[in-house]
Amino acid sequence: MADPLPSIVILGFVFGFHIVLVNIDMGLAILIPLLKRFGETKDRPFYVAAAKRYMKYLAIIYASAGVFATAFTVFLLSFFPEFIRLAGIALIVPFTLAGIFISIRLLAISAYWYSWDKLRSDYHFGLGLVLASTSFLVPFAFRLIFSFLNTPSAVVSTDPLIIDPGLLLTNPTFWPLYIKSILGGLALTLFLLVTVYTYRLRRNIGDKSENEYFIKQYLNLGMWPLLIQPIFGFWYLASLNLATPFKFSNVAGNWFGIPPQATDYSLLFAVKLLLVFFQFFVLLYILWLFLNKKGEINLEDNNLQLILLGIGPAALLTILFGELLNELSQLPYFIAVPSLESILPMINISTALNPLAAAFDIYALTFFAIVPLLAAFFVLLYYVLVENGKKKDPSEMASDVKE
Amino acid sequence: MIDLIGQWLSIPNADLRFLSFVGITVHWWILQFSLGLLFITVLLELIGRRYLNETYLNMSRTFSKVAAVIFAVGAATGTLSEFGLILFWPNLIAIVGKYFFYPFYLEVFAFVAEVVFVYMYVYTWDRVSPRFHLIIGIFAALGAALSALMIVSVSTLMYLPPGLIPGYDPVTGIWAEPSFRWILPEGGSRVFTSTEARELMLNNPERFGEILLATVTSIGFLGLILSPPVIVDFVHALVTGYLTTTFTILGVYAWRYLKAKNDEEKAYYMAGIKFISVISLILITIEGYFGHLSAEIVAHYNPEKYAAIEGTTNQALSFGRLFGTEELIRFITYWNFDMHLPNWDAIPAAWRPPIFIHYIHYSKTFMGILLGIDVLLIVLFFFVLKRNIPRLLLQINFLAPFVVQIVGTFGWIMREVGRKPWTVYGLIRVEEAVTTNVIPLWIILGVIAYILALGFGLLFLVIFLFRKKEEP
Repeated sequence: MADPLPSIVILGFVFGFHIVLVNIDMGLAILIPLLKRFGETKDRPFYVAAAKRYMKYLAIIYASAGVFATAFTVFLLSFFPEFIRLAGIALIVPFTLAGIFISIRLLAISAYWYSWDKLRSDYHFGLGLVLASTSFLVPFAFRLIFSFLNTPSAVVSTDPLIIDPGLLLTNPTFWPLYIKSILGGLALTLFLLVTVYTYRLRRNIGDKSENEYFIKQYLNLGMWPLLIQPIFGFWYLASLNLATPFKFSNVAGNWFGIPPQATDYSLLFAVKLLLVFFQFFVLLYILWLFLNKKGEINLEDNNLQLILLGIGPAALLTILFGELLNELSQLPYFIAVPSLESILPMINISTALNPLAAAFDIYALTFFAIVPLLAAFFVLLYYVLVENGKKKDPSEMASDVKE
Repeated sequence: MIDLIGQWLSIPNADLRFLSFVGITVHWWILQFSLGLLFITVLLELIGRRYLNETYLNMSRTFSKVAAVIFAVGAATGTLSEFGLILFWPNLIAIVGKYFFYPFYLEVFAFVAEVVFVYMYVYTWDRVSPRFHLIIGIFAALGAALSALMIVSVSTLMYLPPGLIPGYDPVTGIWAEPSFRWILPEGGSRVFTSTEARELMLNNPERFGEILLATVTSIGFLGLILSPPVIVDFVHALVTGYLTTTFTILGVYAWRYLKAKNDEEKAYYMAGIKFISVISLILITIEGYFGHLSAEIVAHYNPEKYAAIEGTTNQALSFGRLFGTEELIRFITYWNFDMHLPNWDAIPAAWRPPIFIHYIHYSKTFMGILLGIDVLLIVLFFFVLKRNIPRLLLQINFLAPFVVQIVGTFGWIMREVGRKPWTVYGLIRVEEAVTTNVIPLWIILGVIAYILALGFGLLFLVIFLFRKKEEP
């Protein structure tokens, strides 16, 4: 039997990219309409200008997230076709909902972007609310699927696998997972923007006071989802313990005296917790500065800048590691209930692996194709986030014309 | 006479087939621009830089921005199509994932390359050297084309599964069941008739899987991706995408020209019409040639489909018979007057594709010829008569974006419906590919209505985007 590890690495890699992008996409879609609205009602044109700039980021992130989603689905289908057959039949309702919500989001992004400055502010804000609402709807559908994979509580029959879609909402792991995801996406987006503005401040890109202003605002805003999130994190962990002890034991390792039933991922869990603590540390450090300097925070301070540069990546890695932990800890099963394997053998990754895909040349090809593409992707991000607004001197380029 | 609609409806799961047709067609409407815009944009930039033509550079820049938006829209409709295939045709998609694995897998890399280079192309205008910028553009266009190649390759495997030996003999005109030469895992090979192959698949799926895996492995990576008809089908589909883009630009620019408020605007749009009409004429010639090659392939590998396309039946009105062109069709199909076209009436009932694709084929060809005459006339006015294009001809071109979409859509209807009652030719019938879920008709109709609204909304958005002129 072929080793499924390389296929899991490839899937984890692509999924990691996708999940980070969708979280930023989700956060931006909530932030942009609100920022524009406040800019208009409180007469702060730089809010509107910033919102418009973020729309460009949103477009590229939405498209990239879509590409990685397709890549993930195709990889999953290529490696585990029988499992996809099962999921396609059993999870038809949440997948259909996800499809509808994704398309509404697409329309909302297009409509909001192309009606910018063409619609009355109130109407445009209405469109913005539709756009923001899709940030709640798309993860709603996908978290129904993920919670089903934690514990298939809505199953009516196992042969063939039939589920009652209404019961998906009663899955004990659904609500904490869903709310935690929304909060995580918001914190990630806001803290990433803090990092971007700090970088611009250090490199003297853009208006200094505007950079400082947004750093402070986004820290203030990002603090709330970060503070609330642990409540839902613990709720989710507790629900896993009750609903799927198999998965819980792999997440927590030996921390609670229960040995892991498959693989011990407690180190990954510990790293995730450390990253969350780092974000809390940054907020506490700023609070300490605030109290000591009588309300004045000097953003020119090199140490503070370095710490702020780290908060975005820390939030990003928290999401990434959290999601990987969530998916890896149920392996070798796609549905984290080992007893189901006797009825549904395709839920075990070892037996479900496509023999054609489990070949060394396929893995080698994947590696050699994906590395330069990802390198190019990061160059693209550099141009979008950093070089955006800088134009090359035309005289510098003239020599290259008509050669 | 045959009840054309009733015949199509009699093939199982008409509701889900129609839903899938609508969903994939909407994706096709959009993705053609992803193919064509990048090609046109890079071409315009190349010529603009070479001859220092600001108008071409301006158009190129405008189109690159449109390409970026359309790519995002196409990525989303692509994800939705993929969801649709998994949810409604899970058994088919499992077979594709298992045995048609290579092109399906490679498509991902082409797709990622496309997203990276499309956006890099847009975001690096005036920020990198022109030569480097052009290279990025070429990579973006190649990424899109490569993605199309892989999808066409998967689609081709559905009408030409590995090891297929056609059953029809054009020398005798006798139809026989097609068969498959498959490699056995224990060594050697064996020919299975379609009936035997299906019996194996339905009664002993494990053995079937082993044999098909051994066959696919022996054909190998490149052999599976580039099966004989793939290159022809690929060029045909790619050029269709290019033509859809050029005729859309032509229609929108004709409209903008007639609405232009000053001479500067008029000159801008006329320059676009001039360039695009020349490119369209070249492309439509290539399209015609590859369309013919594609027909030869269909006649060889899927003779039932070819019989339906040419309407070789006494039970329905046949244009070949009506116009007395049957002999000519026979000759240009096989380049031999002694060969016989497959007779639809002689095909066993269980293998007959819907005859309405005959009318789809002739409508498509007729509209394609009209489009060809349209650009030929424009080019004649420009380069031979050296006169302004008549207003009426420009007004007629308002229809071009819609006509070209109909032609492209009809092409896919022929390709897909012509394979019915098979989902994978000779192996998997429609009713075996479909989900076991029973989906109420009102849900299917609701989703169809929703997708159509979405599709038309997106199509109008695309046309709206083209009309914009980039401010320098």
